[in-house]
Amino acid sequence: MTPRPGITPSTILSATVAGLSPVLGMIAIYITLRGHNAPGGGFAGGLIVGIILVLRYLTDGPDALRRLPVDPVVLIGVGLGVAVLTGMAPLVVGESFMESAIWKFDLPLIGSVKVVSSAIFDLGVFILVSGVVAAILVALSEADDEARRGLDDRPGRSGSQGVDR
Amino acid sequence: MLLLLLAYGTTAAVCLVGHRRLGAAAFPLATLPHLATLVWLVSVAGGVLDGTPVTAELAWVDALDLSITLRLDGFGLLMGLLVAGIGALVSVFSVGYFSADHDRARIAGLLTAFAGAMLGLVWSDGLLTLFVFWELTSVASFLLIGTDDRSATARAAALRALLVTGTGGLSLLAGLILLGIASGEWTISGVLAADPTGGLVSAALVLVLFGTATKSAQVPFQFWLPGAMAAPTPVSAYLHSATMVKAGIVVVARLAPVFADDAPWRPIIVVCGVASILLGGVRSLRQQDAKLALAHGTVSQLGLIMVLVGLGTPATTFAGVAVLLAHALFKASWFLSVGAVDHVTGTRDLRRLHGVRRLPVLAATIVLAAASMAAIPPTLGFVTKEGALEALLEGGAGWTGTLALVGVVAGSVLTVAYTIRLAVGVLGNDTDGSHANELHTPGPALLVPPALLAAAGLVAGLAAAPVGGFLARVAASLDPAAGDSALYLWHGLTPALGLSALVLAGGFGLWWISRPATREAAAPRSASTVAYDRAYEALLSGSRRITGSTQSGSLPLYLGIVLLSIAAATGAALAVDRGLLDVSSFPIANSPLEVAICLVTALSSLGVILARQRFGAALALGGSGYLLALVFLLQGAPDLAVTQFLVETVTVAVYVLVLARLPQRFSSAPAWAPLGVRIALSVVVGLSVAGFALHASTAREAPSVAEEYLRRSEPEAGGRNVVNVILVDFRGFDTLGEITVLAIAGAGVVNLVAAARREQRRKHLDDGTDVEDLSGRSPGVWR
Amino acid sequence: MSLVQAGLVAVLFSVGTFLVLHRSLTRIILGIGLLGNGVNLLILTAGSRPGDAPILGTGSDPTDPVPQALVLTAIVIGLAVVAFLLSMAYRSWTIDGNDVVEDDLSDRRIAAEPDVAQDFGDET
Repeated sequence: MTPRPGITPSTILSATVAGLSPVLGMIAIYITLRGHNAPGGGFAGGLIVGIILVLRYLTDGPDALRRLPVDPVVLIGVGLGVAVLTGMAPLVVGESFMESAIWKFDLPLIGSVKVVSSAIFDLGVFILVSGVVAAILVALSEADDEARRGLDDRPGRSGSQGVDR
Repeated sequence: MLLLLLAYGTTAAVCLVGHRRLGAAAFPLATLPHLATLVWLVSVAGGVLDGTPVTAELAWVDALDLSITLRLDGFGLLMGLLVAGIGALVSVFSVGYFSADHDRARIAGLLTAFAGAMLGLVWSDGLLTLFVFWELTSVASFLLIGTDDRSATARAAALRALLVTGTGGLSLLAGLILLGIASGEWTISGVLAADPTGGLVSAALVLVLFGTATKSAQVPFQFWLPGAMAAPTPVSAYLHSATMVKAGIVVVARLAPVFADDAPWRPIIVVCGVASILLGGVRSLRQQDAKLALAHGTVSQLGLIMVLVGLGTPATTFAGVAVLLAHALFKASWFLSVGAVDHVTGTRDLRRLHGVRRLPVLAATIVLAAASMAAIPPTLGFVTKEGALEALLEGGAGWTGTLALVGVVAGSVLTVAYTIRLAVGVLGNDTDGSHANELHTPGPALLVPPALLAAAGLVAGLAAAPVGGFLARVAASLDPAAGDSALYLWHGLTPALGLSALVLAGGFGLWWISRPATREAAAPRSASTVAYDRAYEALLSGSRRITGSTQSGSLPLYLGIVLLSIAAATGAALAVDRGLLDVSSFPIANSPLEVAICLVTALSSLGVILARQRFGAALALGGSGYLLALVFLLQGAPDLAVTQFLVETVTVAVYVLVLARLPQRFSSAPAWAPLGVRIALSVVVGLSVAGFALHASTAREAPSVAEEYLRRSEPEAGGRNVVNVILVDFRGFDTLGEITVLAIAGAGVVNLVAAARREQRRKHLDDGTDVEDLSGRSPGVWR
Repeated sequence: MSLVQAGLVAVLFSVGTFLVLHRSLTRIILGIGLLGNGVNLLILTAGSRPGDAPILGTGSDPTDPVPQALVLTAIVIGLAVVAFLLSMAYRSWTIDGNDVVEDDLSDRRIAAEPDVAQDFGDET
């Protein structure tokens, strides 16, 4: 793996970011879920996922975005699907579109937990925004990659051809 | 009723969608809705003729009080029988006429769609319903005339027909709306009952008559109809003789009994109608193409019917309805016969046709249809023409009635002459022996429909009394006073009979005299066609001049003009509406910190301009964005601050990704305006927007909905962050739309980049520098 | 809305307008980004007065949450729009090797010879 020219690769940095990513991911989900009562929400959460990807890109180069476990376009679809289904769920029980419901549970140890159906909607927003940002970053990083190949392929600079595979 | 229209729509859709598979099965399929309509019409006929119309209503746009309102009365029954009956016969005929070379399913689908629209038109009671169906028939006609879309003539004819009838349709719409406003009623029956009067109504009637004249090919708009003969013959028989061109007559017939006495009505109708009668007749005499001769004859006949129903006295209304029926029967028969002749001999040229008389059924059909067209007893053509003369002699419509009588008599002479010429042209020449084998006997599908129509004309003429009784009940739905009219095969020795004899003799004489002159005559282009062509050309070149003088093609210039206009318009509107802005009424700043942050943000924004390199500019933009997050925070919007901060981070990354591979410096394209002008324009826009914002911040007149949201947030949505609650709950539907926008933008980026990558890859392959397989490198579905 | 805020709106719009009027596609995109920020600031400051965050239980004087909800999605959509435009710039660059917005050639042609019938589907 060859990093971007002009950016010094740092194994330590790379490892740190790789280790931090799951933590940041948890934070993103937390920000999303707490959005109902404090600053945050699906938009902010999704953007944090985007920032994780930016960090990975900076440390590991375009490869990091190429090895995503999920196709971002699938994420966009899933997110939109979750949001629409949450909106339509009340129709099944005869309520109007997007009507929200509040459920309260008494769980042992944790105590009273309140779940609001619109939180699921927000989760859909989160998935979708993650997917959109990821799709944009993946697409443009590949564009970047391709463009570099275009430049590098010019006569006299053929030394780097294909090295970043 | 609505179900029937739906059946037409469905059949049309099936034919058009499945047109590759249907092929020959399309026309048999297309007869089904016609048969269903016929059965239904017969089943309700009794009640309808007794004066209880069938109505149906389908709410369309409730908020605008728009609905599809249908009403089947006696006249609608007659028109429905004609549309469905001739439609079924035309479909049968088409089975034999069209070969596999034609896109049969497309023609069948369009014919069916047209038939549905036409039925909707004749059954419409709602004024706007009428207009919608009216335009649908125009569109179907356009598509059908242009069936042969490789022929420039056919395309031009189709376009001309569409433009003329479309313009007329708009005029009709304007007229109908004025009628609706004048009477406060939006159904035809309501308007007739209200019988509004006044200048508005006169204007409305002129507009309506303009529309009906275009549709029914009346002078001076008659020129599109002969051109429409570029359509296949069954189409011409159906649309351009039996049904569509009657649409104008239908509207006139419905309005005439009430509005004929209004000032502009009778002069317009009678002058245009008589001109059409004479012009169509004269032109028909000079055509060598049998179909074109029939088309000009149709103009003439339509003029006759228009004059009759337009005069609006009970007698003429009844006569008009009767002639309408007779004309539909003999003209459709004629057209189909000519189609069959064309099919058999391969020509419609009156100079070259020969041997048709050897086909007994076809020849008999043509003779019968000709007899009815020339009004020779005992056909329906004679009986109804007799009735028309009778009605006109009765008077009751002032000088216009007299003019109409003279016009009709002269027109009838012409009709007799061109009918004899046509019949002789088609049947007169026997084969000269050498071509005897060219003729093949047409199949029953080609022979039976026209023969049935022609025979119906004869039988109805013989059975004048019951047919007359039926037609009287039909006419009664237009004008109750017409209910006791009757048709007679033998009136006794009346002036009308004398006129009829005179007409027959005159027509024969005219034909005999004009034979040498019309044998080789080439038809001149009509003056209205020339005028139409000039107007069309002028429109096109005028558009080009306007485009040339206003569109310089420079995007920045356009933007500059647009922005300046917005600044000037909003500035002027604000100054006029609310006076000059009193700057002193606003606080300078909400806090000292705000001053500092806003200042730095502004400087960072200016940095975007000053940066010489793209990276510098992108970083300055990012800095400006981060600082803006602080401004949001100060305003009391932590959610916005968080989002802005995160977005700015991703934005900078995106910029860097793309800009990294574009040239480092900005390209130095020539500017479209001097620097000073651009700066001045920008400052003006900025200041006017700021002024607008200050105005807006004091413009609140009602309390914000915020109070409501703040109050309901916790109990109803279970959330304390009201911004988030608004997004995912109160206004969740909006958010759904917005994330859809996001999804689309994301998909757009993915596809644009994929397209660009393909481009690059091809370049590489062309250069021979890249032979690697680039597929399978990312988990994208966009490859 | 304070005058300082209005001044910032004016600067953002002026700079954005100036950039949008360039021929360089990247400058135009930067300008659109600034204009977007300007609009967001305008809606927020013209639509609500400064106050505590509209989070129940945290402040005594909550500000109007409605403009905030409007602007929040606008910010994220702004990101998507900028990304979209950038990929368009990239596409344009792969096609003709620069990012300049050219004049529309067919407009130029019509301006030069308005009377010459061109291929607009005229019937002849």
